[in-house]
This record gives sequence, structure tokens and C-alpha cells, in this order.
Amino acid sequence: MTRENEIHLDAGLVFFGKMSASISHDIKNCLAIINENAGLLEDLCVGASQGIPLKPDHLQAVSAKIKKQVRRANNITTHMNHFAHSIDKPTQYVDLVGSIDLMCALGERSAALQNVTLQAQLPDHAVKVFTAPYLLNHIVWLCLEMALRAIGDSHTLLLTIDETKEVALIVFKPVKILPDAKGRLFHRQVEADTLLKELGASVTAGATGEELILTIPYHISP
Amino acid sequence: MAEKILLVDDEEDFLEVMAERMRARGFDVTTSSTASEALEMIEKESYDAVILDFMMPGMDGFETLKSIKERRPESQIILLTGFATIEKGVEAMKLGATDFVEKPADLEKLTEKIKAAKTKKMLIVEKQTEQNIKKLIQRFGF
Repeated sequence: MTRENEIHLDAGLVFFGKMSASISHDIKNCLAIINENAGLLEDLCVGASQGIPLKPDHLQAVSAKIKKQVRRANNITTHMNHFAHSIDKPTQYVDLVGSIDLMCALGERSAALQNVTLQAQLPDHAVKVFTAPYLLNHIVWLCLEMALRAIGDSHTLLLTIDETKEVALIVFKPVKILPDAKGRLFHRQVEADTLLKELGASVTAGATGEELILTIPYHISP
Repeated sequence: MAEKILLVDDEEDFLEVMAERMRARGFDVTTSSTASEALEMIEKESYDAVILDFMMPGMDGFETLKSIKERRPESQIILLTGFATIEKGVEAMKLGATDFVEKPADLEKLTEKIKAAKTKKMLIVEKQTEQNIKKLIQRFGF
């Protein structure tokens, strides 16, 4: 196994672990709220057995809160399922819109911890690319991490997709990139370089120095 | 006298239901959904225990813990976390956390921990008062 392959495999596993940890943390939060509401129902039952009347409105409110958390946990597990299946095939046709939506959903928590909201303004049509889905998710994640580190004072990170004849562009803004950071944009540059090479992709700073642009070919090289 | 609790978590639904259940158990509960607001409250008020979510937007658990201890060294802080690792637990204890509880928490166990925290705080405050009195006696030669 070459050094490059080793980096690729290790980094891929670390990325999977990081996503799994974040997702399980979100699910735990949902379970904690469901658990407390179930506990509240028990408390109300104990009260009722001691003659404190049950209030239907209160019970309905508790039920609504449980349902809300079940919906939330269901969304999280759906995202987790999509993410986990992105590793099924080394290459396949992927809708970039769906990929960006998925990575925004998975990145929501990391962003929120920095008081940042992710906002995806995406085309209303599919943007199909033939690529390596898992590697694509990984490089989008590294771009998201990098963008969150370099967002400056803004509390919203905007993600858009532009299409040209030759390539699709995923744009992250505002991202303040220092002029001397060229070639060393990422925290884990070797990992990013390996992914970019495999995907035939590139990352550049926009003309204004306030955007990060991930360029993805419509068809990965065989 | 009811234990005075500050409950800090960015999950509003969690705060609401926990506060309701704890109030039903006779605790005097105040809630806050941000670390910065909680710090302001701790500066103004003294609480028997602070139940603090470990992962809050804007300020991580360790940072918040340190800031609380700087403001009120006698504070008894029980950290709530999605996943408790031994390393994190040890680090939190070194920074002065009273306890470390994993979510979903068992409210009865948490209640015991709060009562223990209040006792510990009372002992610290008593000791501080005793030391202050000793200093006064030495100073004025009573």
C-alpha cells in the first residue's frame, strides 16, 4: 500500500468516525428530551394517583414534544443512512444538490457550536456529476470546516452551486482567505490534496478573497 | 429551604421539561439557554448547583466551567453530556466540576447529586466564614 493510499484510508475512517460521533450526539439530545417527557408523564400519573387531576392540554403538549423529537431523530437517522450509503460504490452519478444538502445537515451542529448557521441556496434542478460520492462528501466537509474557521464575524455561511459547461462550482462565503495562504488552505492539507487529486477537483479562493470555491468535474477521470 | 439550581442547556425543550420536573420535586429552578447569559446570572446570583450542558454554542464546556469557577470558586457544577469519556471527566474534575452526568440523565440520581452538591457548597461556605472570623479575631486581638 502506498503512503498516499494509507493517508486516504486513515483520513476516510477518521471522517466516518467524526460524522458518526456527531450524529450520535444529536440523537442522544433527542433521546434525553423524550426521556424527560416520559418521566414527566410518570410524574403526572403519580400525581393523578394522589388525586391531582390530569389536564388534557398538558398531556397533549407533552405528546407533541415527544412527537417533535421523534421526527427530529428520524431526520437525523435518515441523513446518517444517506451518508453511510455514500460509501457503497466507489463511483456513481450523484446529485450535487443532494450532497450539499446532506453535508449542511450533518454540519449544522459544528456550525451551531460556533454560532454560525449554514444556509444552502441551491438550484431547483438536480446537478448530476459522475464522481466518488464518499470522497466528495469528505472534501465538502473539509471545505466546510475550513470555511467555518475563516468566516470572520459573519454568523451565516452561504453555500451555492454554480454550473459552467465544463465543471460545477460549490461556493462557500464569506470566507476570509489570507493572500499568503495559497496552497495551504486546509488544516489537513495532505488529506485535502489526496482527495482533490482523486476527484479531479480543485479548491481556490474567489477573486474577492472572500469566497472558497470547490470545483468538481462533471465526470471523474477513470 | 429549596435547593437553588441554575440549569444551562441550548436545547429549549430539554430545559423546559427538566425545569418542570425539578420544580415538582421542590427545587428552585432558573434556566438559561446560552453560556454567556448563564455567566451573567451567576455573577448576580448564588446557586446551590449549576447543571451545565457540556457542548454549548459559542463557548465549550471547559471554557464555561473555568469562567464560572473564576467568578464563584465555591460553585458546584454538574456537567451534563451526550457522551462521557474518562478523559473528559478527569479534565472536568481537575477544573473543579463536582460531577459528570451522561444524557439521558436519571432524574432521581441527578437529584441526589444536587443535594450532595448543596451540602458540599454549604461546607465550603462555612469553612470560608470560619476562616474569615479567625482572621478578624487575629486582626483585632479578641
